[in-house]
Amino acid sequence: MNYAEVAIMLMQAAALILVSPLVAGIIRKFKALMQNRVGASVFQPYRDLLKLFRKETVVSENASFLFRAIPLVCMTSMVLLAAMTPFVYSGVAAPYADVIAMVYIFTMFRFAMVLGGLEGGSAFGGMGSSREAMMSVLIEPALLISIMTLSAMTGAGFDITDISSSIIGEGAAAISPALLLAGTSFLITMVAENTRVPFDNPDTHLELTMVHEGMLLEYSGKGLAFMEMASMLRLTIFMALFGTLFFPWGTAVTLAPLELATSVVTIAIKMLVIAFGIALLESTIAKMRVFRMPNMLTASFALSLMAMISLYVL
Amino acid sequence: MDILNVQLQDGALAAAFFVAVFVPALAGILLGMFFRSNRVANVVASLCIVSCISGASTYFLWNAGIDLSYTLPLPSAAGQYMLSIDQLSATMISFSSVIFMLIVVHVVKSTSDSGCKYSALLNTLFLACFSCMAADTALVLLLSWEMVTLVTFLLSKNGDNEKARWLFFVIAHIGGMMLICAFVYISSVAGTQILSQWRDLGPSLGDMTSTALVLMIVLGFGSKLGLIPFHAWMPNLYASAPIHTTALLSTVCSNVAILVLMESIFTYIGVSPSMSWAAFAIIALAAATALWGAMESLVQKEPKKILAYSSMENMALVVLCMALGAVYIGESPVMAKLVLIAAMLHTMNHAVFKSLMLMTIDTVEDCTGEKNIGNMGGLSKTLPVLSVVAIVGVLSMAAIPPTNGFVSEWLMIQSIMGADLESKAMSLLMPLALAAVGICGMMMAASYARLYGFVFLGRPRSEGMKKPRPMKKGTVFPMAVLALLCLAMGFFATVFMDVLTSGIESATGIPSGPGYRSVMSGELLPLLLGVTVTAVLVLLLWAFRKEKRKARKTRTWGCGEKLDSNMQYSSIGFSQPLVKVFHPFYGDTSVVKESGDKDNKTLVMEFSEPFVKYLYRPVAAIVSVLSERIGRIQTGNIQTYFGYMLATLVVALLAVRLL
Repeated sequence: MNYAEVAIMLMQAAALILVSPLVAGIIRKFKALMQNRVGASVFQPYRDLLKLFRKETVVSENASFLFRAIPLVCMTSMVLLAAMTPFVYSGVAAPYADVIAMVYIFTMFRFAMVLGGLEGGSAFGGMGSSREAMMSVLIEPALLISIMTLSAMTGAGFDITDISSSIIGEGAAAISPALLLAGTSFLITMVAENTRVPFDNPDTHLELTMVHEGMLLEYSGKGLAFMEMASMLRLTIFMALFGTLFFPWGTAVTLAPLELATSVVTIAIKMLVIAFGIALLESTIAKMRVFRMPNMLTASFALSLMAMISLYVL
Repeated sequence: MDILNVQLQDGALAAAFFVAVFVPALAGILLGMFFRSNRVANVVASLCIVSCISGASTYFLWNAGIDLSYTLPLPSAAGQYMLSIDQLSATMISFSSVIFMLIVVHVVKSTSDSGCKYSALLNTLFLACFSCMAADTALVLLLSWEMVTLVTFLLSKNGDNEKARWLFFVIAHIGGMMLICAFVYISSVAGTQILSQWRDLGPSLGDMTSTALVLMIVLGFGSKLGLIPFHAWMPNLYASAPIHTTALLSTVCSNVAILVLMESIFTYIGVSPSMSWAAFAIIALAAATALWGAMESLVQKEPKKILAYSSMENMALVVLCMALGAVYIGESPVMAKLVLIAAMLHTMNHAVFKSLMLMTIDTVEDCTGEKNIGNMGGLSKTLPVLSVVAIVGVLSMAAIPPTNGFVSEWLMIQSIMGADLESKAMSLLMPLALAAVGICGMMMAASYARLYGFVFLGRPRSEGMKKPRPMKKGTVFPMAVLALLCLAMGFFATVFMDVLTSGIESATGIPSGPGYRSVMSGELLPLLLGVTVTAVLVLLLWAFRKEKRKARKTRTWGCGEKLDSNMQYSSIGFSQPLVKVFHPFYGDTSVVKESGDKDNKTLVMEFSEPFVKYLYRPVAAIVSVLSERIGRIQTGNIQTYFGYMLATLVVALLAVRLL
């Protein structure tokens, strides 16, 4: 590992973090255009975050020390994940780039969020936490299995850095039932994990329907900024993971400048396509009832399990 | 040096070691039998601590190359009282002694009226566990295992919990019977009682017999570990026994069971390919147990019962790993090594975080007088130190990096996925095992979030929680040590894995060739991940250190209403969505509407254990009907009894003559 490689890997982690509000802005813009609105600028999320950072922090008198730490824990887990996500180049800066560890860091984020919802003793927070716990029991195993399918499929072991290069190395032969099933499962997981429509509506303020926003209700100022930032980053990480692990063609596996340049363009196109897909989904589908969600999530779980089983059967 | 060597010969040092372990504890037992005062109780407990310290030195003595074996010069009807410690048991003895010691320290600090008898029984339990792990003859093993059951039964007496105690006693003895049968049969085939001479007896036992023996031993120890359907005693005993009994039962006794189970299967009997269907059966049973434990823990009303089901889940995962080890051992010995290391490491980790959490819950109950999680809440404001300790325990139970719970689950998943098996049927099992581990892990995480969230966060839900008594002096010390262990065993997991490796190699006969590191991904990962998490978190905390002073405090937003203590989410409501999703598994969730008056109706949810209802009750009913029928031959007439005796004698003589 030379200095140039380390520099590129650190830069891509930083780029992932910096670009995440933009991704959220682009999805909102797409949605606005589909709904015949002009919509806010794609840079609006940056302005929102900056504004929140300057605002006063108000804390519930029932909240404990944990309440202050949770936004930082959430942000920490997302920064850790950003450092282990291939974005432009297939290598990653993190020395702990292990697929299982990745799923458990997602769990860490979720666990902190759920505890945060119970802080302050608000009924909305508790409801959000409760629903989040229900969803996580079905989402996380699906995420774990679909990612493990990739590592088992490529025979690359558990190292994230090896997955994309070995899929690219296999060429078109890599498009197997396992990859397609795991990819589909991952897409459903992405929508559910990031609490987008049809699982949850990120823009809602109707308390009885919300999951993710319910848990955020008590945060304000910098804490809220961190939580929002972590959510945006989580979506971007998921999109990048889909673009570089499940559909890795175009991702740079060497440090050749031309390849890196192509990779930047392809990942940008991939992210735009996914963003468009999410916006399309959100504009055309209504949010599900809470107790219809498990059906969809179980489908995602079953798909991932089928993906893994197909590895052994086919 | 020569002089020293001469003096050390003849096992003098070994004898000295066993004296150091046994004499203080025995002295404690004697003292406890003859005195009553609380001051003596403390002396008795201190003697137990001395024994624990001697026990903790086992691994270091073993490492120094001292042959730790000793034969008690006492006559017995069958076999000898031989003790011998090999590497794996040395590791487990040292580790369990440390846990035992911390629990005893907590006993001394937290209870002022536990009494001499309780302390004396603790000493007995320590000796029983020690000699069970150090046993070298089947006689010592079975005697001390029986002793463990008896003493925990006596230790669990607490007011009016006779039913829970006796259920435990009966179920533990069903398991004990199986163990006695299995070990007596093995020793009759092996021709010796000495365990260190039992090595891969499978071929001489025959395929069918050895498989049956393995199943009997797994179920025998499974009765203590809480495998389905033997788990019925766990929730009630955990909830009603004194907390330290529960902690010892859940940690040290489980360690003993896992260790002996491992040695029985892999050393004494040895795994043969013909056992694979038994391994399947055990994997299925363990996965079912883990899922059942995870699901039931979500709906429990008492924190101790949550922990009971969590013990069941964790031990089931360990048994699952062992069964996987048996599947792997023929094809890929290195993977078998890794999965067995994962099993042992998880056993150790479980002992740490479970004793920590039981102590925490005990402190909560002691300070507030509340037992029901529905009435708790808000303790992190009033008992901040306890809540810090508890959050470490909860994180490590929920397998959140970088704690020790994460490391062992990470190893488990690695070893499930890493194996490259010839047989397709066996490979198909792996995704299912992975799914089971994944779902259990997440369900338990939800359950632990509920445990912490509804005990420590939110607003207090009852008077006792508003103004808890301060913690007793010194009780925080053992908890803090355990919390630090949770973190240290997460950061430096490889140290513990290295220690376990050669013990497992010698116990299973796997050649030491390629180490577990050759199949493990990211051997430094726990440390690196831990350091990174800590570094980023500390950096962020430092950058925003001024925030705390600036933050304005206000009431929780309640749509303009002033929220009272019941206007927040309840612990039953929290798990309701999951109950609804998994409702077929919860069986009879009777929703009872109690109408006190016309306008106020209370919704009560009762979760009954289906195993008790559909298995134990019918069996008990049949047994009592049968015994009533048989009771009719008891006429009370002495001539009739003489007649019975004569008939028995004739039948016995005929049987002996004819067979």
